[in-house]
Amino acid sequence: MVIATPERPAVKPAAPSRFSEASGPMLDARIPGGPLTEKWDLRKFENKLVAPANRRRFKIIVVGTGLAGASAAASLGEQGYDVQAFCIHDSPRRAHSIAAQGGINAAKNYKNDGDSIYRLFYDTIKGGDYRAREGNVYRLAQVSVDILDQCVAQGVPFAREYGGLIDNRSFGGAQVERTFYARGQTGQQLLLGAYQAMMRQVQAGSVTIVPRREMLDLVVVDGHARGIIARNLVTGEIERHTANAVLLCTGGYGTVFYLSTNAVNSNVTGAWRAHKRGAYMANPCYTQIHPTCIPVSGDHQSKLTLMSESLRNNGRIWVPKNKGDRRPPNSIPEAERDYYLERKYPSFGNLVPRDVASRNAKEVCDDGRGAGDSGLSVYLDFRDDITRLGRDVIEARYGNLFEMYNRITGEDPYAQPMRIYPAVHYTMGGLWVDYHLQSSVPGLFVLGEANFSDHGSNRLGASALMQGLADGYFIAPYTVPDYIASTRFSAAPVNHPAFDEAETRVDDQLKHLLGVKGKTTPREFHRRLGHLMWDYVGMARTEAGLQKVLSEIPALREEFWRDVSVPGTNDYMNKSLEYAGRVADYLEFAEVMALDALERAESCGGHFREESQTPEGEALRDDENFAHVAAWEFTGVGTEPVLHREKLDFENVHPSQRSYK
Amino acid sequence: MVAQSRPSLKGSHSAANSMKIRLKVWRQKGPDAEGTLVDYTLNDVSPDMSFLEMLDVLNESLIRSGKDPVHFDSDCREGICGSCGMMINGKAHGPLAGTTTCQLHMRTFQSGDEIVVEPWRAQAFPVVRDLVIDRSAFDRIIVAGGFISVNTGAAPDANAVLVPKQNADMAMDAAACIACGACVAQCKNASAALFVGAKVSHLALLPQGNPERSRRAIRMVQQMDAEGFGSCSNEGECEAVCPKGISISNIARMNREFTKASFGGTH
Amino acid sequence: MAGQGNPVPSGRMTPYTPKPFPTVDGAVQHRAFIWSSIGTKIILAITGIGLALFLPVHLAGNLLLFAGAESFNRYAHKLISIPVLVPIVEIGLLALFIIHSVKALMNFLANRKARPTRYAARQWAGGRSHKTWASTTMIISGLSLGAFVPIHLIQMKYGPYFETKVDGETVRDVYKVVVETFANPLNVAFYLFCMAVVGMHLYHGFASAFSSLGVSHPRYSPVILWVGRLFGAVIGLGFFVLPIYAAMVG
Repeated sequence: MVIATPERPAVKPAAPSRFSEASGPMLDARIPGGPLTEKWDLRKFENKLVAPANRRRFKIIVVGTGLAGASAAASLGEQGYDVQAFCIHDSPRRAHSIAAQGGINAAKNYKNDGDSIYRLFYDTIKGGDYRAREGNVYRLAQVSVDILDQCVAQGVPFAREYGGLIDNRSFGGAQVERTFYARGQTGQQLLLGAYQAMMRQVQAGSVTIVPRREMLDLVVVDGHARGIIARNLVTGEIERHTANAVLLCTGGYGTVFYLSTNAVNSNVTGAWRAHKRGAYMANPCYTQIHPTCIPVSGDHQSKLTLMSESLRNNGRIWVPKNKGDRRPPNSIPEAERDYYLERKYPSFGNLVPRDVASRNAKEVCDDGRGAGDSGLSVYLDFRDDITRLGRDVIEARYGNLFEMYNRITGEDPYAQPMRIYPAVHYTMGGLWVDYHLQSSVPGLFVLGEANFSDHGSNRLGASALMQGLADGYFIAPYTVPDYIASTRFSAAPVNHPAFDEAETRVDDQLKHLLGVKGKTTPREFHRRLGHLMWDYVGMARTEAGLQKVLSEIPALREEFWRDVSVPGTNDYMNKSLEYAGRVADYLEFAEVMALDALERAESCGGHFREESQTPEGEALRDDENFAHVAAWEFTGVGTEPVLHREKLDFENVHPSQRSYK
Repeated sequence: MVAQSRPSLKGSHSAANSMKIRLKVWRQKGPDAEGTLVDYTLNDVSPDMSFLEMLDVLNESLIRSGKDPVHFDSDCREGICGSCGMMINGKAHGPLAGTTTCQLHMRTFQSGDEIVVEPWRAQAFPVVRDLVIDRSAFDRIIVAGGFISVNTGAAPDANAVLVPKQNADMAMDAAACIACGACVAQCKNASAALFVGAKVSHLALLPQGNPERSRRAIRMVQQMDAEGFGSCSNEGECEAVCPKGISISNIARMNREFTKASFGGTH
Repeated sequence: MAGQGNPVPSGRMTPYTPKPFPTVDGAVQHRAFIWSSIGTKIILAITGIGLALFLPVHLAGNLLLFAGAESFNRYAHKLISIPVLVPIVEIGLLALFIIHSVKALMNFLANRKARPTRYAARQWAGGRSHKTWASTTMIISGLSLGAFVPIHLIQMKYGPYFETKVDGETVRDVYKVVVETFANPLNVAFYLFCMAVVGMHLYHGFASAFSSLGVSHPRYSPVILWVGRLFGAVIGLGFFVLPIYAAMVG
């Protein structure tokens, strides 16, 4: 799908970085040497082992029970470690992985259409716009086949053909059929598979589920992650939990935008508090915006709903040609409609990649040609295909989606075009981890969307589920034991001063939040932060905009701590208090996110800097200056973080410019 | 240009179609506290709001005046996580069939309506706070046997075992359960038969789940009983309120599985 | 859980402690099949079907009332003269009746316990539900029948003894018992009420028993549901006409 152009367009010289001096030595990702195809095998052999009889003595804390967390807890429990799995929900099965619709990639080549581990690796590196590590991505492609086997054995009811074999399809513009699916609920079924595997270990006595707990601090003893401080969300009790290793599987930070397709409880708190204890935050500016979401209907809106991208196969995207044309869509004549994607990208048309579709929607809406009362949507029109194929065919393909759309908007997509708008969907950035998924704090491992590792600057469709499960089933279970086997643990009992200190910090913050007794709700602050981030750190970013938002975030943060209203007390269930803490973290996190976007003066994948684009308006990378991972080290709230870099080497795939003309 | 890319803070609904809603909401401070229905009136409800967004609006005004907001669980707000759920005018998840509370929109109601909102009620689902309940009984039923025993890495090739399409489809129908608990809430006996039947069926319909089907059926049913759920009266109220339309034929299958397992199954 | 938190501050509400998770061998509290919720329902189904099957036989015989005193008395005499079978059937029915009653009562109490707090507002689900007045009042209709059956037996089987001659043989004049019983309008009213209750109990119970036994089929389950309802209606109506006829004759 990507046509490489032999000569790279001229690269605009990057703005001199303020951080070029401060960066220090390049980070070492501990990627094994040797040929690409043998790196992981080699490392698995090099890894130290823990004897089965000894495993029970080692305690592992897993925070978050989505695909990554549940699969890691299950697998480490099976090996015999003493695992505690924490989740903020009433049940571990409610993690937001459950909402993933599309499918999971696996390089099985069941369709005999030319797929291979190498091709999945290649597509992922290229899809990530050459900002991911080759070693990690190749490993991901390698284990993708094992993941599928595992899930099938667990009873995940994948779609089948009449012969009884597993069905699969092409997804997200991939040229091979490598996506496996369970109706439109693949995430749910994969999560339930992992959840059930974990619950089996609960029965076996090796995993303990600790539900309705929120991790509020990481406890670091002698430089190693040795436990967490958690709040019991029912009783308000602050708890200390010790461990030999801590696995953060806390998902992405999409809700920094307030509105996103993420769940309303998705948050950055676990990752951010670990960041404040020394874990580097990598590439936080990489966010993925999904083009086909149901538009915002008003200020009351609490989340955005994603509609499958497959709709673009049969729907045509358009807006009125004339600015401010507010006529109902069916009374806008053909000649006054602008099918802008078909016009600008004749060969890909409505099927251009997510980022291109999203940016173009924003462009036409900013131009005043958006649809709907808000002017913040574009039409996705099925009229032509309903005429051509018949309503039955469209209904068979998208009946459930049309029904969902109708339920949410009250509009009938068979009779009038759908309205869609882009929404934040996935965050490729996250805590920095090495090849072992270990963060810059030894003993702290980060899995799934919470880490930054495998998607580069843009994630391919059906790859998120693959990565979460790869980390949990097949990577952490090899690298965490290696860490345990090669570490001499000092004593870290719950009465260690580091625990006292962490608990005091948590307690102070909770008291502080309750003590402000201001007039503005946490949600109001969250919404205002979200608007700032969407406007200036959203689909298209500029230096001026980023400078502006960097000056406004501290002011908003200051206002938050002066005027937030958190009713109630800290000794029973208090959802306002939980929420206020998460918003407080976002008000800090947003700053490093904007700073990262400012520092990366190039466009790549999900990060689009208006200053850096090709004459056609495509993202223009600057490989000379930015073929690296930007990993930020916390130095204090409101003080500038330290930038560390990790160089990205491409020995197998050679970076090229994307083009969709 | 940037400032245009989001809606105005005022929201898009006009005053003309805003609704007045009178709520009676169950308030209960903690598991052992006394609870009561409390009246609230909202004058500016948009028909485009979801039911939970309407409660958000109520909560915003409560928080602004320093009062405790109405607590309820919700997460994905797209009908798949199973967190949300409340009795709305005496019906689990409210008046629309096949709909979770988060997907129920206020346009379903009329301006001036009185809406009674209560938590799920069951011995096995104690109230934690307001509309928040403890559904860990479901987790314990899964722990008792709602899984297929396969260790990571021990799986054969995904296509090594053939599964007839019809069975895979039926298994998927059952596996679509989101464990929201509406079945228990609506059932006059607070029975969990639909939830347990769905999991027993999902795994019994697949060849992978066959080896431990007897043990699974026995253990899950025993745990279901131990949790204090009622028995099934075959009224089908559960199926009618299930947001995923899980069929009560799964209860019949569970009964068969359990009976077979009790008389001669190996477990 | 390894939570080692602050000392519990005063004024805190009762700590919230969910039940422990079941383990490999323990924790799952083992009940024998007959005491499990499903076992209970299956026993109710089997005994219920057994009792229900007796009703058409009983009704068919009783309809001979229309054929006149002689036919009715002849039938009644022949029936009780069958050796062995009648006592066995009687004991069997009594056993079914007792098991069904006891199990139903226990089941009802367990179900009450499963929902200790009632809803302030309550609505039926509608749609695909087949909840009916009959299904919601099974315990009431059941208890009514539990009271009816002994009264019925006392009034009829163990009621006044009249003699008559049929085919030259002296037999009990059951016809007269029936007619005299229904000469009292209170008895007629009581029987009519109870026959409506039987119909209602069967209207839900018949199909429900099949569901409990695990019978389920996309095509045949709705058929069973309607056959059950029809069965309830026919039995109810059939028995309904007898007291009226008897009253009219008398």
